[in-house]
Amino acid sequence: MKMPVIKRLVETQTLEALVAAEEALLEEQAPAFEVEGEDEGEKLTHVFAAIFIRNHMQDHGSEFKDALREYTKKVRVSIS
Amino acid sequence: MPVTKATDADFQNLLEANDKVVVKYYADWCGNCRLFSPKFKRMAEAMQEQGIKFLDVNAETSPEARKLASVTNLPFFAVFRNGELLDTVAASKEEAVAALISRLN
Repeated sequence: MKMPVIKRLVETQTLEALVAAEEALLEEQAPAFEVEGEDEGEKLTHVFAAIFIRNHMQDHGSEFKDALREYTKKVRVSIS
Repeated sequence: MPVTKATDADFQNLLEANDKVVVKYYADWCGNCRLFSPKFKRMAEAMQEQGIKFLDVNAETSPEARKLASVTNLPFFAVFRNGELLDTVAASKEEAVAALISRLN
């Protein structure tokens, strides 16, 4: 998982485009825009993260860095 | 045999009720976990005659079950025999998970 990739997705894609990319990756199809990642799993992780952060920013009126902190908290708690 | 969703509330009971258990730990943020789901389901169906219980555990929301297997990465797999942790692997390859499950036999 690469934070710069997630940041770029949040900055350049709409929520609708990200959801469409998620669906494409789950159906083993190419998304409409490039998603960086070593494999399909990492690409999907980047898209999941961008969707979470965009939703968080929208729902809480938060800035990117705060939404990213919430996201990384979720990740940390899952594997600690 | 279908894959059973387990949580901290029923994980220990499921371990005690089944001699052979394989657990897939996942999280909603994990792309490889999501992509592995159909493979895990297929493996459960293919091995239904072997008496192995297949469990899915959300690592984010089930800390007790997660700590029991010392989850370090996701997706993460653990096999239990007679309620005791036998072995684990963090992997996205079906072959690695199949090799882990073979430890139960």
